[in-house]
Amino acid sequence: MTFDVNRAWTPATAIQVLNSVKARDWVEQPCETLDQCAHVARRVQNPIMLDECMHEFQDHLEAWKRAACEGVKVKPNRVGGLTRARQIRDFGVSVGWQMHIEDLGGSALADTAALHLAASTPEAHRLASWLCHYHLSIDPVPGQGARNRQGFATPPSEPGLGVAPDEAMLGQPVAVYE
Amino acid sequence: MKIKRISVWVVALRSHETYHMADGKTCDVTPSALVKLDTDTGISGWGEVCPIPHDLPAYAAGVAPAITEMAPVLLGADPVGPEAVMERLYAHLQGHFYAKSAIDTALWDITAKAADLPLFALLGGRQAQDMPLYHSITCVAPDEMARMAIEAYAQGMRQFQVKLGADADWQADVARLVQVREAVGDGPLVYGDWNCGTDVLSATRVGRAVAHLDVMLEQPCRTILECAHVHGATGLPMKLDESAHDVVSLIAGHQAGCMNAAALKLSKMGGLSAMRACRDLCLSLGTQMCIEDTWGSDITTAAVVHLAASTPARGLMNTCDLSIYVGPRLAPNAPVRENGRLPRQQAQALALPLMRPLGARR
Repeated sequence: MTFDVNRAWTPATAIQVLNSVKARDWVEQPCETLDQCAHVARRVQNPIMLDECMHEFQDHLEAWKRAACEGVKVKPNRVGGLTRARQIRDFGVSVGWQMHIEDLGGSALADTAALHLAASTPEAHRLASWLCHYHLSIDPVPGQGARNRQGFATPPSEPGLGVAPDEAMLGQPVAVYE
Repeated sequence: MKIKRISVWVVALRSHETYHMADGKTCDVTPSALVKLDTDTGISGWGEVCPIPHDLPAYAAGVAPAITEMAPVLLGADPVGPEAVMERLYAHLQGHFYAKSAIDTALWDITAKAADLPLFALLGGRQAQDMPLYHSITCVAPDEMARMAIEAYAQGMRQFQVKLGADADWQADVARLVQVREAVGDGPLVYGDWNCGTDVLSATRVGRAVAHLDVMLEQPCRTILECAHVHGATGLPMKLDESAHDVVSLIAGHQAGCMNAAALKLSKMGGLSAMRACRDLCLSLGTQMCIEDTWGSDITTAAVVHLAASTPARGLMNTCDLSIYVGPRLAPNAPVRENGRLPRQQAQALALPLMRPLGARR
């Protein structure tokens, strides 16, 4: 169980709530800033996962130095792509974090890119992944990519990403450069 | 694809010039372990590790027993995607980074061949047109070291590592730095390396005696804290090597403020997989990198050159053509220095058509 606060609490509210309940499950991004979350992490017993306040690699380094969390979300499209997401993942493995490796949102194309990174992460550090595509009514990569199978997803094993959208379904491109 | 055979050789590498460092560490004839992984598809991969005697918790004769221990995990494993295989090896046998380094290089060699790409393409893509080299000068008499520096300068070398401490005479170390600095003139990078072989007081005396010069100090003492004391007392830039060996220790060096530069080496870090993560970290920390290894021949050189080639120039202080210091050459087509740099066309696929290695097959 992960309780996702999405930055909504002030530090005092976070401390009051988390020290008043029995649950010792993960709490995600309790407050707005890294400073506030680090303050909360020192005063509660729940493991903390950080998300929205983490933009660059340096934020992850800072979070670790300050013992602000026990895990992070690794979202390629939030940090600038798979290359940077991989560096953050490698760092998280080195310092013993547990991670949710997934993307911000999108079709099974974005989900699958993130799932490739998740699949290449040691199991001990891979807490879970979230799939966005099944919340959506449109599926531009019908039947392809990483999909829910009884609570688990497997990335395709063919060369490359293993997902190719149906261009007819996408309609006209908004831009083409040659 | 499956690994179906592991072969290990130990080859004696003879230094062209006997190489002396602090604390009696010497490279004269140095055994290097070569590892070959054969697969069921006909693709084979090579790796090499050549630990300097008495330098790291490593010895060349230890590679084969460690591989005996790891063989059950390796045989039958899919070698494509080295990090997944390495993770299983780390769970199976703790430590033994140097032995794993040779395996890891061989796994990357296979993975790049399976992808039909030069290895640098898998490590981030080519970033450098050509790569600066440094020349390491054995710790002998100061005037002899100055002569070696001039010789290397004439070959285009512009970075010089001056080995210190072999005679435990701090004033001789001062003379070494002064004379090499003088010999190569203004401009080139000069740094003095004790390989952990001195104490804070002696290093501080040397550093303060040369504080008016443009020199960097490297790993005077064993711990990061001691190196930070020397850095603080001398005001000279500091390079870390032995004490910066993984992500956490690199961060510690950065936090201590004594890591202007760091040496990334396959044998101490456990191979290209771990070293790539350290390379990415140093780029973020703003630490200048020497991408190299302790010692070795052509396979080691090719592996470090691929990682150097995929490293942005802003973070790459230098790389090292280790094979130039030793004989025999094991792969005639391996990279060779030109004018103090390794030209781009020389860093090709790690695919090295090896000559039959010397020494016994195990």
